[in-house]
Parts: sequence; C-alpha cells; structure tokens
Amino acid sequence: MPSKEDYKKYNLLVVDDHRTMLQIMHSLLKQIGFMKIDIAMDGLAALEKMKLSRYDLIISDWNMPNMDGLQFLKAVRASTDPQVKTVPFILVTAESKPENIIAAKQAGVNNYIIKPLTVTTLQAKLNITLGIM
Amino acid sequence: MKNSKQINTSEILTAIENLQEIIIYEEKAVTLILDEISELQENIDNKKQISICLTKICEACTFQDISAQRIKKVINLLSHLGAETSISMDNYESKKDFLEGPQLSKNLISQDKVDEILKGNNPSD
Repeated sequence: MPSKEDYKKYNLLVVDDHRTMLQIMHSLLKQIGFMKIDIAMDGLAALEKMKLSRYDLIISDWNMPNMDGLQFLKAVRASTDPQVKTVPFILVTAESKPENIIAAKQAGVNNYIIKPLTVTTLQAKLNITLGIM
Repeated sequence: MKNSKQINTSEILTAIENLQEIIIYEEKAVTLILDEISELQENIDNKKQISICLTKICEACTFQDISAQRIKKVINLLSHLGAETSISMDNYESKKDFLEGPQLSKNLISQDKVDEILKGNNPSD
C-alpha cells in the first residue's frame, strides 16, 4: 500500500470550470498525499499553464467552456513536445455514455473516472496511471 | 425526417427528469453530510474517524457540480426553445444535442463498466 510520501514528488494539474469541484479535488488529492497541485478552469487556461510548468499528471473535467476536456486532451496529444504529448491524462467527468468513453480512449486518455467519485476510486486510478505500487 | 414537435417533447421530458433527479440527489447528499456531522460529534476525540468523516463529507459535496451541470443542460434547452419559439423549428434536427453531461440514474453506468470500455470490451456484450 503506497504511503503519502510516494505522492509528494508529483506535480499535478487539475482542470475544471467549477470552483467547488476544484476545491474537492484539491482536498482529496492532498488527503492521498499529493502536495503540488495546480489548477485551471478550462482547457485553454490549462494549455497556458503547461507552457510555464511541467506536469506529471493532468486530471480534467470534460464539460468546460472555451475548450472542453476532450479537445484539451487532443491538443495535449498533438503537442510537438514529447513530454507534454505523453503526459498521463485522466478525465474525471459526469459524461458516462459509452461512445464518449470510447472517444476519450481513442484520443489517448489514460484513465476515466465518472462523477461522483470517491477518494478510494481516485487513488486506485491514480496509482494505476502513475505506476505507483 | 423526425417530427420536430416530438423531438421537443422528448427533450422537455428528459429535462423534467433531470430536475427531479437534482432534488433526489441533493437530498441524498445533504442527508449523508448531516449523518457524517453527527458521527463527527460522537467521535470528536478520534482522529482517524474524524478524517474518515471529513473525506465522506468532501465526496458528498460533488453533488453541487452534478446539479449545476444538470441545471445548465435544462437552461440551454429552454434558452434555445425560447429563442426558437417564434422561428421555424424545421432545422431543429441539426441542432446540437443540448442534453449532454450527467446521465439520468436509469441510464448511468458504473465505474466498473467504464473500466471495461477503456479495456476495449463492448459494454453491450
């Protein structure tokens, strides 16, 4: 079972247009042990953050203004920067139609969590995505 | 060609179901939060139990995000219908699907089914 220490080194970017959801995600991620957590409120703002900082994992909502989560994922996977292009990407969203999940998979998502989520599910998917044993 | 009036009725019924789900879901979430607060009050000296209760309260607060998305869906639909009322509805079929976002409970799939789809297994198999 990973300890909180195992998560401290990772730099996360959490993207959601709802402030309450950003607060909830921040709280749950801190509980798991993550210490470095950046936030953005849509895909465009997230891409701007990614020009300034390197992230080990992106957690994004789907339904957002300006640039939604799927468009953001596709933009990341189309990046010419190899590190950005391959950054682990998790969608956390209320979108649960199978065709949407398949679209996300085809766009290169690493994992997909449906809302409402629990800290147990979140940690399990993060461990799988980041290869934390 | 679809009958635009039938499409509108279906969308409106789904909008009503969404609003009903908000009421149900919010009541469940607030009940859970109040239960956890009660648990906290009884275990005020137990650090581990406090941590568990606070996590559950945090998780329950996601109801606000879900409700907001459902309400936005309904607002978008009603706004469009309001704008279109005096205009021909003949091209409604080409309009965006306004009711994306959180699915109704009867259509929800579990996290396990999501995981199966990601692995490439067709959920209808």
